[in-house]
Amino acid sequence: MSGEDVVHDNTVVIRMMSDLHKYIGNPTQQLKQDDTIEKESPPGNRTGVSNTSCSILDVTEAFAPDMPRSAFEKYQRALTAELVSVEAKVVQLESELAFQRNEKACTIVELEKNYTILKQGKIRDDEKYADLQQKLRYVVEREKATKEQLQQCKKNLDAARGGPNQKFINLQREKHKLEAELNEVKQTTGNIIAEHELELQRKDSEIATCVNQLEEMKAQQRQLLKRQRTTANRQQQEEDLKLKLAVAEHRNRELEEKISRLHEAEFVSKSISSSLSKLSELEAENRRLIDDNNYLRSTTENTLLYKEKADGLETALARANDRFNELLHVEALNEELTSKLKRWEAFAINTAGVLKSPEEYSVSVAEQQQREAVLTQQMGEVKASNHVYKERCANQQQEIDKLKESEQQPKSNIKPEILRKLQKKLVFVMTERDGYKRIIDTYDSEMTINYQSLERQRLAELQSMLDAYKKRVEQLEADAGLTLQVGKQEVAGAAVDSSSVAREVLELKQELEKLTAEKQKLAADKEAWEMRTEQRSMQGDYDPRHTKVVHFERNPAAISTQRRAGELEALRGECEMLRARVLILEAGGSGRGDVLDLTAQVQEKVQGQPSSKQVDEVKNQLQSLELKNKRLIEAFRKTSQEFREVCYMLLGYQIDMPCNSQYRLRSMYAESPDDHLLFQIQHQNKEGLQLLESEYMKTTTVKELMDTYLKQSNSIPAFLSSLTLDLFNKQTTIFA
Amino acid sequence: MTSDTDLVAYLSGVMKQIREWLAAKVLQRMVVVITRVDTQETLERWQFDIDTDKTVTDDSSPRSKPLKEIQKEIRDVIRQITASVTFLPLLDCPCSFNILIYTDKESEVPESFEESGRCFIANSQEVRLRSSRRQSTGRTRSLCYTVDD
Repeated sequence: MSGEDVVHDNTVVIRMMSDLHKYIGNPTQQLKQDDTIEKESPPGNRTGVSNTSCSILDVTEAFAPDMPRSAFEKYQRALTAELVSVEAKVVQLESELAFQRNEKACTIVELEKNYTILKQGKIRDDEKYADLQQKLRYVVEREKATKEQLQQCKKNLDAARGGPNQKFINLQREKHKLEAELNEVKQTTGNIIAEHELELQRKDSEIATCVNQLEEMKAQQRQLLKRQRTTANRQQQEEDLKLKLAVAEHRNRELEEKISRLHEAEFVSKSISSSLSKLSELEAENRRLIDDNNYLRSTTENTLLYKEKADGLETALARANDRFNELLHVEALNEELTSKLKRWEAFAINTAGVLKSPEEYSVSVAEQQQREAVLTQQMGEVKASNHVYKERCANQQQEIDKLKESEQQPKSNIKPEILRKLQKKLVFVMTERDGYKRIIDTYDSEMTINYQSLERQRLAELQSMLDAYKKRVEQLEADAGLTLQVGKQEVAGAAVDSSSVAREVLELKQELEKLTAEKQKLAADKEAWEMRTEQRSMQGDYDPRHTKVVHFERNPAAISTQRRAGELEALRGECEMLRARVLILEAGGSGRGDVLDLTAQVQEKVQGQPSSKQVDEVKNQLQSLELKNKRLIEAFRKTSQEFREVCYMLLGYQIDMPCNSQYRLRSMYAESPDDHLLFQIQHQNKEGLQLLESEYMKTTTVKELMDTYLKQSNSIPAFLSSLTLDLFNKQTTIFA
Repeated sequence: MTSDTDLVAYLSGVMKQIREWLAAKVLQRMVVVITRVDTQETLERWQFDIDTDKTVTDDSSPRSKPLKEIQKEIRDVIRQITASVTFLPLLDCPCSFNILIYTDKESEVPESFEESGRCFIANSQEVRLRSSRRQSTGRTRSLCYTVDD
């Protein structure tokens, strides 16, 4: 709480004033209170308290009823300072209180602990005391018993006084002993009792001191409780103040928030008012816009409608244009046709007054054409007859020629009458021929173009087709008749063939019986076969098409047989060794000292004599190798022969090898068998071939070739081929 | 059981392969052959035909058969085998045994296996033993037969 706040709070000032008046009214009581505080508070805090009292006194001195305003302010300041100091004091006191509380708790705990320890000690002492009393009782009882024994012994002694002295002495000794023991026990018990009494006394005193301490502590506790109460009161007050302060602060904050909210609301209201003012404008604008929108929508619909209409109109226009064009075309056609018609009509009128329409004209044309066809037919006939006449005419001409010749040769033979007749005939024929020719010419002039031939051809084809169809129909009809006939025949035959059917049934029955018999036989066979197969399968047979038999490679049987074979081999070797030994022994008969040498000799002999098996093996190898060699040689010979032949055929030279590294070439076209070339390989420089001198080389042609190809170009193949060509030319020239 | 390591290795190898073939349903027959070591002559042939159910696939549910029944059948077969000692001729020569396995022609054979003859016994006598049916592997007919002296 700040000083200013205190000043502003009027109630505080009034309360302080009342306190001051009280203080002034009863200073002694205050002093007393201060004294009590001084007494209660620990020595460290005394100074602070006295200071506060002093300061308060000072304030009272300074404070007067007619105090000026500055003094009042001073007083206020002093009060605030005091309040601060009081607060500090309160805090200090609180800390002190806490400390005291802790201390008190510790002391209480310690005291309680001591108390319990002491209690326990007392209980233990009591127990010890009880034990000792019991012991004492026991000892007393024992004493009594011993006394009784003693008395008994005395009685016995009295009774046995007449007995031997030894016994008496013994008894006396025993008695002494027992008495000594008794005394010892008494002493020890006395000592123990004293010790315990002492201890008890000590414990009692300790308990008393503890009780005192406890009382002191209780007093202290009471004091502390008092202080605690006061501090609690103060604390409560403080808490109340704090609560008030918190409430005030909370209210303050709420108010501030309210203010801020109000500010915001103001701002919002301002903005809303501005927006409201705008809203009206916006609404007006909105309305305007809506109107515009509606108007535009209606206009767009209208425009769309107009567009559609325009499209429709355009299409209609296009159609109309087309129609118009068509119309023009049709008009033109019409004109053309009318002109044609007119022409036709004119033509018709000109040609035939009867014909008035093109149909009639076409009919007349067809008639004309038919007539034409008839005419052409006639013309063909006429042509044919013309041809015939021509032939006849030629014949007659020939005859005439013959006759003329005959007339010239033997004029006397021919009669002049016949000649005249013939001449007349000739003239007649000639005129006839001329007439025919004329007719043909006229026809030719008339019929330059032949329309009808094609139609005729087509007609003929159709006629032939019709004929073919007719034939087919006839054939089918004939077939139908035939089938009908056959059916009738069958119906008739069915009745007739019942006997044959019966025969057939009998045959079938027989066959059935045969088949059943066969079936039974087969079933029996099958059973037998199954039995046999089962037997075979029991014996381990299997179908190699579906099954295979496998076994582990290293099976016990194989291992044992292998082992056995090894053993057998070893035994055989041993046997042989022994045989050799026996032989040596038999042959040598050497003395006993040579036994060691004997084994060596045996081994030598066994190793020295190659076993027949080894020899056989070697022989076999040798034979196989020889066979291989032979085969290789044969193969080589064959291939080399082939190679040479091919070389001879391809290159025209037979290549031989008379001796090592020499090669003899003999041309295919050589004039004599002695004509050959000899080459030698020079191993010193690689690929070197040297031509050796021979008789054939001294011939002029060869020399020339050698000069041109070997000496100048150093090319053996060129030389050889040129030689071949040369020889070939010579041969062919000779043959030619 | 045997303690011979070679024999144990051999049997384990064979059994492993047999398991594979059984799973592949290609096993047809197993034959234990007892041969004479010195002459390689087959003296006894214990043949176990195995019919695998080809309709069983990896997806199909296993055929159920009570364990008790299976054990009973196995017991019966073993009892018959042991009882056959009474009528089998005495083998008084060093003998060895081999296991032949009849499989489908197309089945894969590992390198450790090789094709074998069927170890036929000429002039034999056959005895048919009781057969048992196991779940999913099918029928196991046991046959035994011996040489005719």
